[in-house]
Amino acid sequence: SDEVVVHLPPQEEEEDDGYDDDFEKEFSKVMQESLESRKHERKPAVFDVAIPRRVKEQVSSAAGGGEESDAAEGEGEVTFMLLTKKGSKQQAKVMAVPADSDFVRSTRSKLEAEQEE
Amino acid sequence: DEDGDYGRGEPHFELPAHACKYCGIHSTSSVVKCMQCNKWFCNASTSTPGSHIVNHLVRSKHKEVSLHPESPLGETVLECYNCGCRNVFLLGFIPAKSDTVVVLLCRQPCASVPSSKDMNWDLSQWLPLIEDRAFLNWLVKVPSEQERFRSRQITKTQIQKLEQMWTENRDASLEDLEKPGLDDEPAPVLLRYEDAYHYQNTFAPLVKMEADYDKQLKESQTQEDVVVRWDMGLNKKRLAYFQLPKLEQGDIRLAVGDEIVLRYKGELSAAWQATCHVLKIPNNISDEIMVELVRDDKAPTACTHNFAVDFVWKSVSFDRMQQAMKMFAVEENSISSYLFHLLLGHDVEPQMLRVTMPKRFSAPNLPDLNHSQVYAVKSVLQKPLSLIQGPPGTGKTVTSATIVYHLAKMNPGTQVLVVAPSNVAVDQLTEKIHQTGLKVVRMTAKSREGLDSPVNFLTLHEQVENNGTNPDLQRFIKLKNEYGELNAADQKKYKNLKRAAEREILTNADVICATCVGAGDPRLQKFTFRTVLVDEATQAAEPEALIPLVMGCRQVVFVGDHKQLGPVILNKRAAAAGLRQSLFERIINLNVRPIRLEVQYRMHPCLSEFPSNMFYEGSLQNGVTIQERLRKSVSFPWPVVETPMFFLGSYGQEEISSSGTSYLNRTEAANCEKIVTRLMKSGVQASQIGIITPYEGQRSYIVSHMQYSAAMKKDAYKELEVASVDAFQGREKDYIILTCVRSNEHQGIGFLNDPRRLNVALTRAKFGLMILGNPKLLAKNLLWWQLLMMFKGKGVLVEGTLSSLKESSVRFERPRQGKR
Ligand SMILES: [Zn+2]
Ligand SMILES: [Zn+2]
Ligand SMILES: [Zn+2]
Repeated sequence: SDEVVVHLPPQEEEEDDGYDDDFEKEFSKVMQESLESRKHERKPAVFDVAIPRRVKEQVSSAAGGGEESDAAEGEGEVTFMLLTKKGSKQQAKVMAVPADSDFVRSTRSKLEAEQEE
Repeated sequence: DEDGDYGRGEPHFELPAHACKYCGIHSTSSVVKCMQCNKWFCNASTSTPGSHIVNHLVRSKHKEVSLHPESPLGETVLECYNCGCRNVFLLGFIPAKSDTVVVLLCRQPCASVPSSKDMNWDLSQWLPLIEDRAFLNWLVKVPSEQERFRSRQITKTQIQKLEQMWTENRDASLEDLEKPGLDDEPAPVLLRYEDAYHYQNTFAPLVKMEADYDKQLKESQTQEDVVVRWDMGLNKKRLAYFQLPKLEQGDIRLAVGDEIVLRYKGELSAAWQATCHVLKIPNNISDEIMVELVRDDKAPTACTHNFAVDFVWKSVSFDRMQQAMKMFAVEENSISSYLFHLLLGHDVEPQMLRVTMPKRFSAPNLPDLNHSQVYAVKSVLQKPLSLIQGPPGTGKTVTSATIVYHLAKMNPGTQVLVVAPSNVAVDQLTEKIHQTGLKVVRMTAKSREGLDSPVNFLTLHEQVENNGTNPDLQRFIKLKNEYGELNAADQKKYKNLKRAAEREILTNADVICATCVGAGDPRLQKFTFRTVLVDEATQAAEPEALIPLVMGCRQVVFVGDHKQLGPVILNKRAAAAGLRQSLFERIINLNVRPIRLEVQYRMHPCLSEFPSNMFYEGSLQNGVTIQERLRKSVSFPWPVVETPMFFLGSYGQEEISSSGTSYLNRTEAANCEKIVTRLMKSGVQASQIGIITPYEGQRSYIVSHMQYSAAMKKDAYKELEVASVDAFQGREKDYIILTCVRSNEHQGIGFLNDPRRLNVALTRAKFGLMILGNPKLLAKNLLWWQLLMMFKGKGVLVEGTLSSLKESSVRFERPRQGKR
């Protein structure tokens, strides 16, 4: 087969140990500042956009009602529709999310709970 | 421009604009664009605590990104669905409660508004885009392990410098960071490279240094006061003959096919100049150069004096080396993954190719192979990379041709690419491969098309001319030959027809032969060569050997001998930094064992003994017997009859030659003449005698000595070849005289110090070898001491004149190791 097994020498521990710490500090700073900058933002209206009928239909046709399906590209993927706006126009884009991701697990359990009610 | 095709459709092997500015990864689903600086970064965390994109955003305080138009989601700016905020550090997904629909919302304020039970969206499930310092894998794919292996292994320090540079110069690149300053010593070549960018960054400056040096040397060498003799060629092209004393200084490489400019300053006729191609360079017959005028524009053929010659430097070979390194780094399909890692010195698990082995290992119309040759053929056919070491006279060419035959038969429908650094070697191999019945095409540079070669009928341009299938093309060719040029419309049609014919011939070939540089010819650009054989691989500089390998190679056979001369590098700093090491040698240093051909068919067994012991661990066996290599008919005063070799000690002074840059030795020159005359009088042809001298000064002195002071008529010596060691590599003669020239008390022995040069000099002769030199001086070098002791032990270290040779009683002490 064409499979190549490569053993790279272990990456030499970098000369610059400060880099990682520094990055962590910078990262939290960016996070902090981002949140701070939005604190005084005007409170928007409650986010309660309705899901357009068109998108609902697309969801069921693209993903067989949210189940793992063969329409999804890879195995073990769940197809979501990502709702975006281009200008004022709504768009829905197909997005495959791994079935074993936390996001899918938790949305799914919520969904089931929802349906049981 | 004769090579006008060059540049046409030349692809650019630059990374695409959307390649990660850190590591070069460019798969569209793995990169995002930073919208503040318009640079792309990938989502891999190679050597950084965060993924490259996150690292960049944090370091540069940029916050907005968009996805690639060809990514699964298409061109998408990541922004809050509700308020349009684009700060990716605040964005996250929110799922709908009852459908698999999601939106992006900013954490503050849109996702932090208290939610109510009857809403469509579940704000409590907000999931940030950036998790573990990387974008969610299903939004921006983390590149595969394979991709990360092939990418540039950037370090944290480099990233830091790069981000720093961008604050001042937004177009700065990693290459700028690593460019050595003008006065810096170049970084030396390494055994192993982190990745192809590291490799390219190491070799590119060395190739550039060599190119600059070569250019400067050529362009500074204008020769004035040239006397021209005019003639007309059979193809009705104007020919000019002249001599160039500058060549004797040995600074310039002038090769057949090179371009020069011939100028007339305009005393007796108008000022004029023309571009010419070199058809002949100085040889032992005459020091004249012959050139062909590319266009016959009013050449002042009535004038003969006061011409000048400029050398024209061409960048093509250097450009192709640089291009190949770029391909290697950027184009994933340029070479198999296995070879890629192996060439970079990564530790790869050995691989075998699944092939059906032939039943017999010899090839039609070629000699049967001996045991070690069969072993070599057998072992290379199923390996993706192999080295064959062919010591002198061991049948390298036949073995190579046999290998090519089998490779072609095992891979029907594809072409095997066969290359060597020199045209001579390519021609020899082309001829042998043709003998096996395979369809062979010999690609030559356009500038060499006018030259005579033994394989003319196999060259691409001749095959096009002789291809009778297209009458239109034939008509144009005829017109062109008759009138020299076509009108513009016809020229265009002709070019198209020719191109189509070339393509057809190349596509139908089993084997395509070219020089290493010739493999980069634009006419071969669209071809993929999975199987490559590189002959004379130890004489190619590494970037040169790379050219034929980045055309899709999966299997390569290198043939050469690292115990003979290596590549010629003119720039001493580039050479010292390692450009003179061949790829073959580096692969040996990576612990790939070469397969050695072990039976030599050239030398009398007494001549092969020393080279075998010194250079090949005594492994060289003799395929010829003493009887086969004794010439009873030739009466020559060998000191020991059945040992046709001697070292004639002489102590004549060396002199600086008239050019002031070389050496000569009159005593040795006179002895050369006596030996040659003696051999010829007993029936040896001059063409079967070679005189090897390391010094140009001695070469030219011997040639003129033979012309004016020799015992026989000067025409008798016409076919005698006097040349440097380098010029004899790859060739043989019945008798070889080696004149060492240097004879002084205090200085070294210069050129003769190199064991590989000595090996080549000692292994050219089939029937007899005479060495002329100062034994006392040479014995100061350990290798030469060993050689002299061997001659002494056999009773063939002699003194005196040819008619009364007597054993020398000179004694020498073993020098200390490494003493020059
Ligand atoms: Zn940026
Ligand atoms: Zn990257
Ligand atoms: Zn928002």
